[in-house]
Amino acid sequence: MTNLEKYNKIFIGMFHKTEEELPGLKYRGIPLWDSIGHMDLVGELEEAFDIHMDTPDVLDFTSYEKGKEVLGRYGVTIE
Amino acid sequence: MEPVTESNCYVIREENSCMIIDPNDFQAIRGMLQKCNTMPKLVLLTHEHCDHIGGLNELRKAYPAIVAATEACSEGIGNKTRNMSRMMETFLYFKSGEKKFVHYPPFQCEKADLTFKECLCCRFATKELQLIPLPGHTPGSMVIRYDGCLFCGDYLLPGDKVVTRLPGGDGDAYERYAKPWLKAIPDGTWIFPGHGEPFQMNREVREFHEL
Repeated sequence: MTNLEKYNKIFIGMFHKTEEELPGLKYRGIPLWDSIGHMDLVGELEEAFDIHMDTPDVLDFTSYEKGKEVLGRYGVTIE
Repeated sequence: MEPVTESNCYVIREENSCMIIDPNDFQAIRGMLQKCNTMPKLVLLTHEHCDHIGGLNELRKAYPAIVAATEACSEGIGNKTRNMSRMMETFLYFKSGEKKFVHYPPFQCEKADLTFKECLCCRFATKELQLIPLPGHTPGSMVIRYDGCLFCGDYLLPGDKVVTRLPGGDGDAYERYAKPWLKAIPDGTWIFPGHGEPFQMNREVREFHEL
């Protein structure tokens, strides 16, 4: 599985969206991506990619696209 | 009440015995114990979230009390994700309306000294103590019944519906195990929650919590 597939799978499972619906997804943009959903999402991504995000980066992770940039700071390339 | 997370700790003195429920703030607890000239014999954990165990490590160093929790709670307190301390800075930031950043270092605790999976009935001092596992909010959640009162952790919080979406939370388990038990609490029972003021069970509480 590529990193992108892994990344997408987590988003799809977490927010009950299809792959086509992921681009443009934002924190607070849908009911399930609220503060609790966000913490859950970050936890899943940390486990999946074996990283530990600092809190400022957790808070900077505000969209599906931004998340890829944030993970890049930890050496994870999403493609 | 611990000022950062606003969680409640209960110190119960019964004759020459003292027990602590949810040791959140060691300094405050120690102050109270010194004021009452007593030492804890028993520490009970309603669940594994960090805002309810924040003072546990220091408490264990200072006093030889037995720590009792459900088996799942005992496992959870040793994991920074399951005890939520890993995400607490983020959680507190969100809770402040994304206005205030509070530094909250992640931590973990050693396992409990006494663990159980099923309801545990015993006596503390002269009164019956019941420890009732009720998973849902967390895998390790329990309700404590002592002297006719209930200490229910993060169930039945005044003004806040139960949260089952945090790591380890299980809505199905809540519906299957916790909710029926909470529903059966008689009106008039004093409830001492994990956050907020104590209250008595009544119709309004049932309606709010959909029991």
